[in-house]
Amino acid sequence: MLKNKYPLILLFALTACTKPSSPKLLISAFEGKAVSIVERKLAAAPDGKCVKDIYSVDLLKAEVKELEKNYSGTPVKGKWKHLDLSKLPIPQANFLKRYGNMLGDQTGKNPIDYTGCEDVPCIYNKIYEQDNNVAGYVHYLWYLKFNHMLSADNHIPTDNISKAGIYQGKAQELAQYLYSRDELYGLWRLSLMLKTSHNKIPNLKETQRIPRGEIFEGRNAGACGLAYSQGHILLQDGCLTIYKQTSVDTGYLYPAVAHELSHMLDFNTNISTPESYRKMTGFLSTKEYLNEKNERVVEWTLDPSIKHITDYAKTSPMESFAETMAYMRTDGEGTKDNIAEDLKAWISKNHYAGKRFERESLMDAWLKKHSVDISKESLKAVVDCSSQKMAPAPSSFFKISDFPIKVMPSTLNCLGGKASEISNLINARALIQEPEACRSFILTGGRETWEKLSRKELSAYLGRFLKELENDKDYIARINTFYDQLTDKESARMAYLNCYGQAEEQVCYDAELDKLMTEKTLLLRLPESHTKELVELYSTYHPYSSVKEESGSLYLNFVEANRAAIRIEAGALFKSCLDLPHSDDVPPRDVLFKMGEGYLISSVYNCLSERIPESVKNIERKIAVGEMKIEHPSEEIILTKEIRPLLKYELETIYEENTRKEKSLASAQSGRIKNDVRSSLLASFDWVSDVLDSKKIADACRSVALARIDFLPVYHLKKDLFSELVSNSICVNMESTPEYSNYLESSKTTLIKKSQDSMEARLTELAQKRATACVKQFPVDTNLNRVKFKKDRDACLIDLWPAMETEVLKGFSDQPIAKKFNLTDELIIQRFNLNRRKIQLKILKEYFSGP
Amino acid sequence: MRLCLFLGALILVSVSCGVKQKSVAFGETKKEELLTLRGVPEREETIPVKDSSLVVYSENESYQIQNGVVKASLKSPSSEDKSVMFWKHKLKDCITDLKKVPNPDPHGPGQMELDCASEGIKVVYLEGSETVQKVVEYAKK
Repeated sequence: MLKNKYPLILLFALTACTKPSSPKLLISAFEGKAVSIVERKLAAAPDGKCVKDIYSVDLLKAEVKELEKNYSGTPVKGKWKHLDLSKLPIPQANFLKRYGNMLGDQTGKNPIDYTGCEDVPCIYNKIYEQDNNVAGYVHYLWYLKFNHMLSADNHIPTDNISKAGIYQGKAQELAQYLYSRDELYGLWRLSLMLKTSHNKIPNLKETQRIPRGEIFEGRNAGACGLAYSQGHILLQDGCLTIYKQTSVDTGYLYPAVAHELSHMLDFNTNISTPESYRKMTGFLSTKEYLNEKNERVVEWTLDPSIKHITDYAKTSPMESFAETMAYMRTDGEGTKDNIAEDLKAWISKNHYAGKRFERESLMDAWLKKHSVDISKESLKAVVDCSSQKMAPAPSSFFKISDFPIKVMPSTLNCLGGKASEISNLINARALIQEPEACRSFILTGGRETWEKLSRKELSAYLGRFLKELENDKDYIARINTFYDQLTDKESARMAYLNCYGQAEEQVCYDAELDKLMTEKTLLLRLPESHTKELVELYSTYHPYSSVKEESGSLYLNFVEANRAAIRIEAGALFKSCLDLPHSDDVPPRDVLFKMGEGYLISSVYNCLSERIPESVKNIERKIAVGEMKIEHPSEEIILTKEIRPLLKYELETIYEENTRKEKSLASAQSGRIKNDVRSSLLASFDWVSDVLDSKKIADACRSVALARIDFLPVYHLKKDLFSELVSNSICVNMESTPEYSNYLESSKTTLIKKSQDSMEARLTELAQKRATACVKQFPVDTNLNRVKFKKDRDACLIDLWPAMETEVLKGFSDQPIAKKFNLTDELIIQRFNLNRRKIQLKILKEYFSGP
Repeated sequence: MRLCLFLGALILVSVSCGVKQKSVAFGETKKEELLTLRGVPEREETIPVKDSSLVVYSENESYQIQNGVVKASLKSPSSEDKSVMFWKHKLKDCITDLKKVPNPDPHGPGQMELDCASEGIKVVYLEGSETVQKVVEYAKK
């Protein structure tokens, strides 16, 4: 017995000794050590209940506490109404800093009294006019999980703020924009399901409900959800449907909201754009052309052999991605055989941490999640059943062939009874913890599938323990102690980080974890089979998908907790770029952030683009957990990836604010600008190139006026900022001004000469065309032809000369400028008489001389 | 020595200018000339526009032919011209027309077209996005 304790001591010593040589992990320090509050709450829930049965303010409060508890980061300074932000939990302070002025009534007519509130859920509940309500917690949890606002206000983000409270031309009550209790439940349940890719959409700003009973403005009734790459999702009743009569766990809300979130994910990283995605989804090629109206038309050619989950998924690669993501996650069983296997595998690997959500795989995952408890209980069952004194009740749970060793019928009955209890226990836990569990068990065949899987799992554990117990009587004591080590996540996280970014990340993780745990366990000097078993147990307890999911969430929360530091760095970066000399000569490089219809001069744009990596590094240097900084290279890569979009978001916020300010400034100066530029244009008309054409005069005026405006915008193109002022004010009625009349008078001599020159040029052009035709008729390609056709050729041109002069003169005297200065045809004929022979000789020489 | 350097530079400039590929003049270049310039296409497709077809090259580059003349080209942007800002900068002196194109997809965002008729360039991108999807070139007006 004493001998068998050495391995345990060694294991502890190993844990203590190996740590200094490996890099310390920031997330392990960031994550608190406290026991899960939610798990405690769930443990107290009565058996047989589902997620929907335990949905309550208490549970949601516990979830909020759970998510908030690790938020140590950069404190947020400032105030929101009566609240001192520095005294609030960091995520609440960040939320109010970002969205504080976008809550509740946005018309300013019905202000809400928030004075009794000390936290964000309370603020939301004031909007819902119901204290201690689930609504406040669901809204705030949505922010904590998806990092954007689930709106509870009457301003549709795509509209101007002046349209707040008005939709489809009607005044709408604030309550019409708020979610119902069932809708809130659905959104909360969905938030439990979308834990991997959908929580990382930095460009998403808010999810907004349009007023109840309305359809989208400017769209037909068929649409119920819209995703805007500017960062908004709009939802209409249809996309918020819960089939209450069947079960609140069913309804179009689940795939519809997941669909729109998936669009946002796609907009953020252009997932469906690459050729590789298009090929995988059967979008073979596009036929893209301009129609008769010069409008662009796009038609897809689709591979009919590739299965899509819905007809709508066949409309474009973008819809294929959104639909597949949505249905695969919310109805895994329904998509089982209805999506092309390559696509399903790709989505699973890249967006759902290797999960497929089919019923059997879900149930298998729940069993794996509870593997330690199953293992512990199995061990206990083996001990109890081995030393049983009374005959157990008959059980058909197992057959003798389920075990690797021969088992007595009474032991088989005992193990069967115990196994059935364990199976029911894990079943009850899954029901209250897993959002899909209730539906999975209810659906046809659900119960049978669970029994099949749990029997397989339990027989494996029980069989192994029975076998080991037969060989080694101390085995139970040793394995019991090892369980205590199983919850330590350090090795799993280390394996994940060591493999982060590898081509086959999951394969690498499994191998790395095996290696790390084998190295640790080998020091216990156990028989090889035992070592292998312990390693396997640890690997089962820390599957790749869970570690990836949890690590992703922790890094995201860690970065979010330091949002204030990112905001400060963004301000410093923007200022440093604005302080450089301004220029707009070099083309902008890369894609910076969303500018909508705005602009940014290229010196600032390129400066921001170039300096973002350095700023990300600055932030990484500043953020820490206590005294601990980044040590593992993969942690640095992950943080860079998480910080970058948030830094861009903060830069975008500064950009939007500065753009608004610049527009106001330009508007304030418009009176002065109008006077200055118009005076300058009227002072000299050297910018007029063609007095005969009013359209050309107007175009020239607009172009010169824009150039002469001394306001040099940084965030707009001059034409976008001042086109209206130029067209409607500066250049208006230019030709009717006394200054313009004076200019014409003073330039009369020049204008007459210009008119004569213009007419002579037209005559020459016409004559040249005629000469070309004459040469075709009477060629000069050989000396013989040149001489032979000379008379005919000359006559061909000269005989038609009077007709050409008449043609050119046609309409001249009707032109406004000719009328204004009484310019007659005679004036032009005088010029023709003077230069006629000269022009003719020139053309004869040019065209008729031959080669 | 200096003269040699100058002459060398001059030769280099002449050579680089000399090898500049002749470009397509939309509304003028004939289909045969296009094939000489761009080589053999991947395929040719019919389209529901009168007397028109598409000559398709790799990487989503196609040319629309009408009555034997190249009417337009449609290309995916390369790396340097994929940002909307690049085009706003390039076309900043052009009187552009920005319009939202009706989208048959009821869920998806609208498509925006930044059209500079005087340059014969139309840049297509998703509403609110900063990434260009397509660049269409056609005859200058």
